[in-house]
Amino acid sequence: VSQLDVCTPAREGRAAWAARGRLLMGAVGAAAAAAVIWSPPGLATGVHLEAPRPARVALTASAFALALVVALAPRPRRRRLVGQAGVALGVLAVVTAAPDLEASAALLVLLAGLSAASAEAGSFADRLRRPALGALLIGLGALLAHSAAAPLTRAGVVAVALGLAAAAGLLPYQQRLEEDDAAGSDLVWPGLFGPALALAISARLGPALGREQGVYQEAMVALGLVNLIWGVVGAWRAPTDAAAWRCSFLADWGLALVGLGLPGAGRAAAYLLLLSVVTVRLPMYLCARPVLTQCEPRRGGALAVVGAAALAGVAPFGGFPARALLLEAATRVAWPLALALAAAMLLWLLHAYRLGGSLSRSGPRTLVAAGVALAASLALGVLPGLWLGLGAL
Amino acid sequence: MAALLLATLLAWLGAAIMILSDGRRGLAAGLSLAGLGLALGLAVHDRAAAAAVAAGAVAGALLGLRRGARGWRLMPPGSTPLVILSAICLVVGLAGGSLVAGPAAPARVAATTVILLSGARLMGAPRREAALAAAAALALAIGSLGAGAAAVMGAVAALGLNALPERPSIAAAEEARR
Repeated sequence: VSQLDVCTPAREGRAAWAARGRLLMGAVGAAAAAAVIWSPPGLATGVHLEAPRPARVALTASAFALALVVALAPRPRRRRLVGQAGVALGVLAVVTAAPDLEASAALLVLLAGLSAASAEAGSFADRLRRPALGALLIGLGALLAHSAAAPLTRAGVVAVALGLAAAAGLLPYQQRLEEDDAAGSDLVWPGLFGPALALAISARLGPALGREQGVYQEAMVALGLVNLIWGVVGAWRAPTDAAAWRCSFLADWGLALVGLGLPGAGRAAAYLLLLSVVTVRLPMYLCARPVLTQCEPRRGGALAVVGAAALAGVAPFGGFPARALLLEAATRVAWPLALALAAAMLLWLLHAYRLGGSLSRSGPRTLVAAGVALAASLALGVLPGLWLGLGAL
Repeated sequence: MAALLLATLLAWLGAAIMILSDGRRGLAAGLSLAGLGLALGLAVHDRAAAAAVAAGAVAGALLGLRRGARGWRLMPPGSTPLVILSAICLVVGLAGGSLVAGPAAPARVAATTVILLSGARLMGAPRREAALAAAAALALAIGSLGAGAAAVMGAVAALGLNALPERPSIAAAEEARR
């Protein structure tokens, strides 16, 4: 490897041009994302590109989280990451704004390739496999969902739900990959790309299904409960803090998937929960990385307590209104579901302090990132109506 | 019916070559043929989308020629399950083709054949170049299932995947790990 990395003037020149090219591509990607987020409804572009309102807000949150990922990355990697982050954000924006599910799924394969190529360690093919399987299931599911035969439509709807779980890195497709850095981590899918994707797909597929919409909702509730139980119990019983963090993402997604499967307030809860995954849980995970990689010891103190409260969804932080809305929606549909959700929320408290205690305090950047994540959580918790209004929910 | 048969056969042949090959020429030829088969199926009802898919496949295949082992390397040891899978996909594709009708049928049957084969390759491919070729074929096929914009986006995805830069140090580390 060292022989291949030997610097010669010609190689340095090529590397400088490649770096400029990456920055240019990143700028184009960021401009595409900005155009999707701020384009007025019904803008005539030749190709109909319009992201649903909740997905636009989630896309903005992803841009915010990507900025934190870049800011917290080690200095030598930061320049490369700026370009990669811009391109990934641009592709994610077009995935959410694509006119149909087939177009979204086709571009999702490109996003999977970009994400796999940005990783420093691990096999490219391994990193590509799971999100590409998600795209495959979404594409085939979209084909079947529009067929005339009811059994095929139902199979297609279930395939789309399973494809979404695969793309977001949830059970039953969770894949443990070699860890290297935050940008190459497999948590990029549940923490960064997944929320905007889930909101866009649900907004596109739901109304088009008609009578079969119930099948989609049931599939989402079932997937949500599996992820919720696995996540909550897994985070509590996990042997390491890193495994507990991974499971905590599953638990958040579990609640969000249950919300996507419930009408009315359930969708609003899912939207708030997915925003909180991107703007609170992922940044806090980034802050915990120095402790998780054992560069720094665990500490208690005020940051651990406040961080635990934010991660547990205690009032006045962001998870609280989402949980209240979810319980309200579940009570209207079936009280045993509400009971199961309430039990999972109580069990949640067991792992929250463990995660809070793993937050790092090394360096001003990490502290500022933790502060920003806590402020975002407070903003979601104190002003849920503002965020719901932005998402037209 | 003739268009459906020709598109399905061409797409299947390309996808089968792609999953049974480890060399750069085999992967490029497979991707091109699969893309041309998909384009033939699309040409029945949307010529602009067909042109985009064909262009995306050929350009992607040309870009893919930069990487991977030299030559064709067709049917390396251990290919028997993939040969059987290819034969099953051909039978399923032709049987499915006889059951569907309408102007979009050729594109859908050809795309389903390519999706099944490229998906199987993606699940088992250990090498970067094979995974990229399979992912590009998958993007083209999924795009061919939808309306015109989806086909264009599939072509863009296939082109983008094959244009992904490869860092020599990471490629060498992957090779050493294998």
